Amino acid sequence: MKTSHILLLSRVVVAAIITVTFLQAVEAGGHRATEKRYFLRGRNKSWHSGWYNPDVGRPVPLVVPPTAEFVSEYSWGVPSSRVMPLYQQFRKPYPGAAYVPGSRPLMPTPQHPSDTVQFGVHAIRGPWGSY
Amino acid sequence: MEGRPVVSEGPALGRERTFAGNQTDEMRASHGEKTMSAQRTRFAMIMLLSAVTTAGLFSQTVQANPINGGVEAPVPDVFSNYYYPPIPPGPYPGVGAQLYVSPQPVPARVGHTWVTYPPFMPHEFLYQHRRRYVRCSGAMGMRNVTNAYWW
Repeated sequence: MKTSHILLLSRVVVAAIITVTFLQAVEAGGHRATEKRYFLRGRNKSWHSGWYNPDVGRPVPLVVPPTAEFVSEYSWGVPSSRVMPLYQQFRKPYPGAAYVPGSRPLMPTPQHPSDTVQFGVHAIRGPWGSY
Repeated sequence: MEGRPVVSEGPALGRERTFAGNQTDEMRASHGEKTMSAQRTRFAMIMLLSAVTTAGLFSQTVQANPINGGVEAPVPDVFSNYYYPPIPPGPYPGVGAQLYVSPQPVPARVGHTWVTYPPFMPHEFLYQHRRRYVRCSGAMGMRNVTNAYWW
């Protein structure tokens, strides 16, 4: 009787430890792990491509919800569509001037576009709130 | 089969193969109170160990959640905009972008416009969430709490 009690208790303890460890592994990095990962991967990556919108004269940011994770882009040929991760997000601190010297010149939308990125409209996730 | 102990051969051998070790019934009867106290002590130690282990593991989980999932946000600065920084020349060069047309980063002596009530900013309506704004008010340590829900 005593043996069964101790065995049962030890199994309960082991099950609790395994459960907590599993939950911690799932929550590795905290509940903001995805946001941290997207922030780290989005650093030093531009939000636009090499084309600009000729109607505006510059690339146009398309604000999407901050919960968006991917964007779909379409083109002629193969592949005709692709799903790209959306790392870029608006943030609070003023980064300085909007233009840095040495940037390569952008091209306008061609007469016969072959890809949706050539329209010069690119998604940026909206901010999470007041930070 | 050789070398394996036969458990069902005698009742005395079966009684001796208990968790307590090599104690017999006579020994157990003579030291009954001592055995019970040792059993309780072991049970208490195991319970204490499990409680400490579980509390330690769960306390780490709780400490990794400092700002309540973004519900409790700092008081927003109404005089700043949202930006995406320009990327210097490299593999992914790019120009910067700002979310709203105002406020512009101008000196304080220059007149400027801003959104006077941050919960009404359009980007807050892009997804379902809630937020609690806490601001100290008064010299007596009172505070003003505003709960905002977007859904």
